[in-house]
Amino acid sequence: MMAVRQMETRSSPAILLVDDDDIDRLAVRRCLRKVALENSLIEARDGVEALEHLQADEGVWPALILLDINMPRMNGLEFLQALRENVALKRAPVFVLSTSDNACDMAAAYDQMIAGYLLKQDVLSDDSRLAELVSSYTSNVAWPDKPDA
Amino acid sequence: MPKTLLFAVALALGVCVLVLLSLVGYVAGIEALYRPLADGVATHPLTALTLLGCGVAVLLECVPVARPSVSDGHSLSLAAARGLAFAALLVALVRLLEDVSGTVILHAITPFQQLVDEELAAGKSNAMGANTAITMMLLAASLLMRSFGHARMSQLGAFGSLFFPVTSLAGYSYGLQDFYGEMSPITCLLTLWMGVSCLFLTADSWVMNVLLGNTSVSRVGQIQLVASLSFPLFVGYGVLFVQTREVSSLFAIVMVAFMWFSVTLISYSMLRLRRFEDDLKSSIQQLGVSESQFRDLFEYSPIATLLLDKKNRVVSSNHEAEKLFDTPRDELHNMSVDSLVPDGKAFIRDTAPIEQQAESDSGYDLDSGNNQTNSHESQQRLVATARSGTQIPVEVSHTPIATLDGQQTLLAISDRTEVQHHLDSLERSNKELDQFAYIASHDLRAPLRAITSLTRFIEEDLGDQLQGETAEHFSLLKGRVKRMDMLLNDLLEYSRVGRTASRPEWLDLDDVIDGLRQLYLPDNRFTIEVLGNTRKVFAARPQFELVARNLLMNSVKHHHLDAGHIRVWVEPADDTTCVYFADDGPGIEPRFRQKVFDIFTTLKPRDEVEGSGMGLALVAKSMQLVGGTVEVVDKLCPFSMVSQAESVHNGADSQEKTAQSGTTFCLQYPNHVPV
Repeated sequence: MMAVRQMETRSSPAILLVDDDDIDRLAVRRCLRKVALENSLIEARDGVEALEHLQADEGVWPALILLDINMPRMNGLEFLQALRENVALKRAPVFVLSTSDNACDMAAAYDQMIAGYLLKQDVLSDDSRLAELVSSYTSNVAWPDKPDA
Repeated sequence: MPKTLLFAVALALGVCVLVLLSLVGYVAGIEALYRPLADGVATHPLTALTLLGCGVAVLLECVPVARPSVSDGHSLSLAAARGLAFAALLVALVRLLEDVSGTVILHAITPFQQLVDEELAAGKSNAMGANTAITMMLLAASLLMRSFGHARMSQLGAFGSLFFPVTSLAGYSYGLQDFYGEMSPITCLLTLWMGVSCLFLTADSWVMNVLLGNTSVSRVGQIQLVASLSFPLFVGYGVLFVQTREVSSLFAIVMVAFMWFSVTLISYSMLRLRRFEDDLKSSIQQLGVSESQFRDLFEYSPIATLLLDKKNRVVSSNHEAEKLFDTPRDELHNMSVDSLVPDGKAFIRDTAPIEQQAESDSGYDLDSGNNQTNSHESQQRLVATARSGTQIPVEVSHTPIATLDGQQTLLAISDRTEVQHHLDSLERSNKELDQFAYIASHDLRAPLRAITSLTRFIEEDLGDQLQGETAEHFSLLKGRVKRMDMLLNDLLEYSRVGRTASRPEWLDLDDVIDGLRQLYLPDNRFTIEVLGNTRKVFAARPQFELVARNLLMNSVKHHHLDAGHIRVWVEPADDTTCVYFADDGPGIEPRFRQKVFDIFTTLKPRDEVEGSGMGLALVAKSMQLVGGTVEVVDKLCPFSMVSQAESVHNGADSQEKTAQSGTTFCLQYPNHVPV
């Protein structure tokens, strides 16, 4: 019974979207609606808010993080650093979802062990690309346990 | 009137007066006036007349100098002087002829001939001898030469004329009748005066100039001359007394010859010495000039300069150096360069002097490919320390110079404070500008993407309900958004040009063009060919690809037909390489050829030809950054003359085709790395 429950949580991990742009968040939500993942979507408007979600008592885990770079308060790269330094959260898989094709941004993000760097202008140009990627990723990947803090 | 000329005039006047006196003697019958020694030798009337002519000629020749304002009088007096001199010459020559041939010609024109004949009959001597004739001839010739401006000939003549009077005088003083013959002491004296007077007439040239000059050589010459003239006289008199008036003619000849020889020798050596002295003077003057020029250059140089000795201590410094280091000159003296410019010693030791640098830097070394080593740089940015301890950014260069104290070093130190300030602010504003363009296009694109997304959402949500005008407006909306996106994209790319610099190399043109053809001209409507034998360009690959791509896209975009042909060729020059891109499109009017390279400039409305107007601006900026140029030129491809000619003769539309000769872009790349 216990094992079944665990399987269930594993099959539908949360998707934490960190982006300050309302319309981009709307676009992502519409994408996920198409592949019926809308319900697992949690939204945060910057790094600080995202960390609050992750560190709450009933913290979101496992979670796939979709992370924008340019954000107020705590930007994507700062969030990544904080995430990787946090013992309890460091294993979380992160996709960067940004408009910046700046080589420095990309390098800095990959240095923080991200799963992939997605350009909004590519994956959000139509509804299907991001939706397919996320649905395929969430259904095919095995998720790590949350380490003890 | 110069002193020498006054002297000449005084002598001539004396001659005239004495000659007139002897003539008065003939007129009044006072024998003593023309025959000073009773039963001695007399001055012949003709001699007196020719002497008078010469004397008056000298006076006349001096008139132009005395009264330079009367120009008519000059030519007149000069003509009179020439006439008198010529008459004297003629008389002397005829007298010589008489002597040689033994005929009598001059009796007819000789005044007081009767008196002379009577005296001759009485056994007294009265004739114009050959010696006198030659002397008079030389004197007259000298005067003529002087009047025609031949100063050297005049001096030679006058010098020659001195020979007989001097010899005769020697004869009189030694009591040797062989030496004076028929020449009376008065004639001797007068011809001597005349000769000297003639010499002084040309005192401003040749030997006389040297002898009468003010230089040390002249003074030595004067002393030698006086000594060599007086020595034989005194010795002669000494011998005279010892030998009790029995002097052999041989001795006198030797004395006179020696005297003449030494005078000639002295004159000659004076001339040579004078020339040598002049050369020496001018070289010393030049030396002084260059020395003072160097001093001035050094002192008033706008750049602080220090002269350092072998141990790199300050030997001298200029005004700017005092200002720069805020230290008076005498305190700078003997200071070590390192206390003024830390690392200055190391800089002088390790770097090439500035002139060697110019030689080694003349060309880019393709083989080594590395001309950025510090050891070759002669200018270096260092920091100077003022007295107050203030650090001043400076640029220094050094040059070795040879001085009397051995090898020294000239260290030029230019203050870079202001330059550095401007440089910093320029760098800052450039950075800000780049940042601005980058962030602006980024931040501007975010709302644009939002609009794109929202339009799409509405379209999707409305689905089939979107019809008629609304659908049309929607498609227009999307078109404009797309254009805005493109403009921002190109602006972003423009701002990025030059952010990453890569080193130029020799690129294979075919290679680059092939790559571009596959990427940007995939459908075979537009063809591109590389022509000519030279197929190499010295450029950085990313830069050349960017430029070539934009030129190709420009040609394709603005072509008036659906298909076209682009020719690419290279023309190497001395230190540049020109790459030509020629299309067969509509061409660009000459008045727009500069304008097309401005940013956001298109020659057609954007609704007609979709374009941001950034492509050629990008090319221009990129070329500028590598030290090259881009321009639209009137040049046809030299490798395809046949096809050009064919197209001209191609039927009815040839008119149109020649008008639309296409556009040729010329990219000029320097064959070296820009500084």
